[in-house]
Amino acid sequence: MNTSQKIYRVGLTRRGFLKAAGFTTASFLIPSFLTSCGDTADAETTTVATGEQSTEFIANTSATSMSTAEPRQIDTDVLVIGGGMAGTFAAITARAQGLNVTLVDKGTVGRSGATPWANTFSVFDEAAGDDRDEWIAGVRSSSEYVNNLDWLDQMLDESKARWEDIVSWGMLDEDVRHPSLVLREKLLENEVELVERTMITTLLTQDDDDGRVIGAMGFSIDTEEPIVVLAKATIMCAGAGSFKAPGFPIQSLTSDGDAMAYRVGAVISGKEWMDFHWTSAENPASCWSQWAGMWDTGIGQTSQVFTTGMTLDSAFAVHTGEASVNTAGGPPDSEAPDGEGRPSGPSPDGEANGDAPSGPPPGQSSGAQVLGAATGLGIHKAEGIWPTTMQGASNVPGLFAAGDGLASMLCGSSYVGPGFSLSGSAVQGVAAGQGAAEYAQQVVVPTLSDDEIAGVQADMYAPRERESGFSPAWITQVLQNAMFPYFVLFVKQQDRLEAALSTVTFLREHLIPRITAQDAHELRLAHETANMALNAEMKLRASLARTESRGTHYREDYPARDDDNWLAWVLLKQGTDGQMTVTKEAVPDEWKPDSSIPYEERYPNRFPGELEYLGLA
Amino acid sequence: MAIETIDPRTCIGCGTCVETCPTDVIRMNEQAEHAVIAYPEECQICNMCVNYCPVGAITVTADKSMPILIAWG
Repeated sequence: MNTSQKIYRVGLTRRGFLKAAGFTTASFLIPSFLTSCGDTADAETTTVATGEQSTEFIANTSATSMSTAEPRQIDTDVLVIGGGMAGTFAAITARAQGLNVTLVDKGTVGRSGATPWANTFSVFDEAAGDDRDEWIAGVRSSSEYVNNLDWLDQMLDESKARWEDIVSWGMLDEDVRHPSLVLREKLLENEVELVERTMITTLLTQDDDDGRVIGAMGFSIDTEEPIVVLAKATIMCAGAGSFKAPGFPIQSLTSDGDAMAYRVGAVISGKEWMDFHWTSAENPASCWSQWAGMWDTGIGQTSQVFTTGMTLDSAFAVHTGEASVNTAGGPPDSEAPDGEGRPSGPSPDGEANGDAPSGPPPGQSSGAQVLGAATGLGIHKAEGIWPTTMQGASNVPGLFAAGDGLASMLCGSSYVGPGFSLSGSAVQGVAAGQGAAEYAQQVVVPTLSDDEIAGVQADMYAPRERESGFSPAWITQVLQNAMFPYFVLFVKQQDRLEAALSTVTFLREHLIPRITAQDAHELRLAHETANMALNAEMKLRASLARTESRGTHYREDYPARDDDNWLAWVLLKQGTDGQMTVTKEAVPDEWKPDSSIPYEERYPNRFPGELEYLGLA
Repeated sequence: MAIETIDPRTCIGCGTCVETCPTDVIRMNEQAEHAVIAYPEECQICNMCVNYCPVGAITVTADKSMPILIAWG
């Protein structure tokens, strides 16, 4: 028995512990007591302590059995998980094929996730003078050549039509309480069945040769009622996620989609890229201080593409002392996007453009700023489930994805222009809706035995049934302490990534299996915590694998792009032994940059130490 | 600290804030017929509850404290 296993013995009363270990009171004070405990203590590990020296802070005083709760079952053609822009378009598109569609959202559609805060929609319009070659060149350069030009073509072809859709839906109408609320109205108008305030925890698979996805299971966060949705096709639109970092209003997003998909064998990509939003140093937890402008300005279109991606030199240079913490990564912004629906003022996206002037976006604090408002999040449209078709089909039959849960690589190692995220979600939502509808029309109605449902249900409610263990809040706190400091994911180095991975691996092996929940709210937190821990492992393993620097991925020990080896994407997949496997897939040759262009011209953004490393300084 | 109060004298019990909060901070007290702060530690200070409350019953402030990190918990 090793030390870590013995740390589990936290359910013991002190008296019980001493009895089991055969120790005297004095010997209890010896620091090594945890390693001296014998197996005889096993029988007492679930004792809920009430005595004088109790350890009741880890007891689940509300433990209860949920194994006999009768699930609510919905049979549908297409299940959409997540009700943002991608999920709404996916659901309405599949519904237009005459199929029954059910959409499940962890919160209320239009008020959960990132949707209420996304207000810029990129529209490519050749008739208005947009130059296709110029856009493609800008996206390639900004992505640093690890983007996917097929998905970019799709966005360029269809973004204008999707913009016209949301205009026709009334998202720009002056009497709309808030644009994002229109999504819910349209879903109901199209007779999509909404299941809200329900957390999906598990994708269900058919027990046959190809293990296709046949729906999902979850629970109501209000009633705790289990719900089973059996579907011919499932579209994951649950977005990405952070580690509940302060200052970005996405603490309801915890990479649930990636985690669920990974557990049924889906390939995941884009985890080494880093979101670079900032928060106020004075009130770092206040999202409203940063995002009021995004809320207030309504939705608008823009036609702008960056030319060189985000200029992050100063952010990375915190580490070298060449930039101050309070300005690094601070809010450079971009020029005012013009056009229909856009109130006057600078871009609320605030993503950097090397050619743009600096200054805070509207409504955002102009005070001191710090990085890491969304630590755990990657780049829009560049992390999540790896597609095998242009309709967002994954490698697992029956599972599709769109939006920020799809690693389409519409963007690559860095963001490419304001509004690409919302526009990309709309376009990809339609594509996935079409793909899922076609698939659903070809497959038989799925079935799942009561025993199989009971097995999933038991796993889902396990945190509610444990009488002792670790709280989701505490495990999340430990995870945040491991992942938040800038020198883990912003300025990366092998030894530090491995150190964090050691902690995260410990969480996975020893703490997550003992996570507890006292009620439905905490059961949601328990599953979110497990998903965040898995996302952390993905980010660390992908970051370790990519032995170069590119875009938002900066390795202090490899501070330059390595085009010979890393014009490639990192792919993660659960191996047959349950461990995470890491492979890479090369970018097609025709999408690679011209290697005859001098390095400094090919990559105009600099990393600290880069030119010295290359011998170009 | 984050969400501070839902004034029970002002709250009309419409439930808008409950369905609005993305992190499930607010629940209805069915007996008292008004909303209550059930899980304040999850408040992300997004202000959506304030923005949607039809009677201005909710107060949210910009600062927030984290619990002390202990050895296990």
